[in-house]
Amino acid sequence: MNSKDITIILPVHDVSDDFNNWFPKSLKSLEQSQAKPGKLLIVCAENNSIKEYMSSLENTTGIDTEIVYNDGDTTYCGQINLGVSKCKTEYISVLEYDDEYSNIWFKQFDLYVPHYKDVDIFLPLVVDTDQVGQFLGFTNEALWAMGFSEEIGFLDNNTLLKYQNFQVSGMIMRKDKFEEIGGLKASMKLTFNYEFLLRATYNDTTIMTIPKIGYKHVNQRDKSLFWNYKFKDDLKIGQDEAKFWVETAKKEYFFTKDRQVEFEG
Amino acid sequence: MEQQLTQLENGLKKIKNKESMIYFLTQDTNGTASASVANTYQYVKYLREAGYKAEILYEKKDYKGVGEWLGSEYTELPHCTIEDGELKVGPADVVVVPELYGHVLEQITNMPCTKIMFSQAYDYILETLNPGFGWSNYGVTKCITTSDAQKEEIKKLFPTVESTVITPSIPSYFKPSEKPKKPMIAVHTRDQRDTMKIIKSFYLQNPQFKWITFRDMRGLSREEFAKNLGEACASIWVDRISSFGTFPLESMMCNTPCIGTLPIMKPEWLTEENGIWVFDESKVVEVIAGFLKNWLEDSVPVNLYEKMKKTTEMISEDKESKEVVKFFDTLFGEKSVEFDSAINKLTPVSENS
Repeated sequence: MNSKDITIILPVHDVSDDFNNWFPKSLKSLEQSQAKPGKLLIVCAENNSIKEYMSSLENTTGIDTEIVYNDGDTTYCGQINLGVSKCKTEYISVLEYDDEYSNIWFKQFDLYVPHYKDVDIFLPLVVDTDQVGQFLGFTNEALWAMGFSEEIGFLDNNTLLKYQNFQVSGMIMRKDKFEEIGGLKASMKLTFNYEFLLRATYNDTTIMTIPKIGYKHVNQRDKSLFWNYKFKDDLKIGQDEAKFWVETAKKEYFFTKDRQVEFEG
Repeated sequence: MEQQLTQLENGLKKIKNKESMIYFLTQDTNGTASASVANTYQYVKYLREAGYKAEILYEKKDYKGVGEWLGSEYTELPHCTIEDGELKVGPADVVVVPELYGHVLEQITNMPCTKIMFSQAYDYILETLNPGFGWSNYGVTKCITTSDAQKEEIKKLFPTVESTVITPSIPSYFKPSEKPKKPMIAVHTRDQRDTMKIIKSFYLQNPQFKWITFRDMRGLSREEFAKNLGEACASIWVDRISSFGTFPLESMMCNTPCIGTLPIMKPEWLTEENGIWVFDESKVVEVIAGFLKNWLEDSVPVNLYEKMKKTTEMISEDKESKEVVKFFDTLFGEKSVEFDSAINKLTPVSENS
């Protein structure tokens, strides 16, 4: 097993606004990667502007790349689930178009996987930045704090019930485990990450953070999904609703299937 | 005269048959791990393996021993105490005294044995000596020490004492962990206050790294100590009066880079490239943060690890064992000549011819 057994899934919902500022950086991070993953799968929403953009895409990543179009559920979760279903490799990884892998991430995977053969999900140490690249903090790092989780470095269900701030973008996960636990649930809105990890740990998925910088995430970029939840008038989520989604995640993780849930505030 | 002759002949026989006793006076650390005490036990082990009758000698009957931290292999070595008054030494025997026990020299001056000083920590040499008194005042002519720098220091203080440098070895269980290193920092300081000061300052100055674990290495058994050091991504060493610097070398054996303050007496093995050495103690925290950033980005210079490996190549249990045995072989060789000569002087001329 090595990084050649990984397919990166990169969902693209639309190419308007500042997509072109971020996407090339994202691809550049793959170009600079010290160990190359086996495949890059760009999962695009089926529309003309995206098709036009992709047709002129110059791929310098050095990675076998495939573009697939999705005419079904084009939410972030839907795109990822479709991407995973099309993967033929043992592992999958998720890259957001406005984020970047560190150049050492896949090399670290190659280094860690022989020693941690039972691990199903390797989380990266995520560097969170603001839009201008200013360091804000780390995510997924807390697992290495003494006494934080049941086993240092590993994520468990009890810890997740008390602490929610984990990031799945950049993770490297066994494809069969992703499918076994039911993939991402779009109906979980802002807690889809959290619910997914709760469900994973509930289903005996072994999760660890590789304590090396693996992924750079731009926090609440203008017009991103979470920015919309926080600021956009028609999508804005208040405190009560946020609390509702956290509580819902804690109830829904027992179910493999995505059951439609609505907030009635 | 005849009695004296018999004594000398018996002594010579003891020496030749390797029946002379070699007592290593040892400090009671009350269960706390100590590199110098471990080294003393190692010497006893080497000498016994070479057929010598070496034993650990301790002061008080309630000596705690090293079982808790050094292991049963060493606890099983023969021990004896001064306190029960049964210790009998003759001219063919040797007592090895650590430099810290300078005061004991006064008590054993009249013992008819050979006294050897064992200096592993130069800072303690003068600790218990009376002003104006040196080792030679108590009949000491030889000393074993662990570095050339210490040898020089001893030469300045006691010009008539002949010092031999024997580089200590590090046990083979000091090795890198099989798994990749953890974001854990092993801290070893002479004063425990320094450990807490470093940890607290680090978290205050670098809240983004509050998930990094610091492991105070005090109170661990030798093997646990080695295991933790093998897992750590870095180690911290603050010991200005260190003589040999066992901890950074143990760290290097574990492939764990050491961030340390420069000791007053720089050991020969310490170079600019085989560790991250800081002169100003107040900068240690800043240096740790810088190192961690590099480690998390996997950009610690490869050269550092190469130089660490190269430094540890000089350390070998086999080499140390040979040097220890050679020292005592030479010592007893010299003693044989002395005994022979004394016997010749006492033997009537007719018998001599």
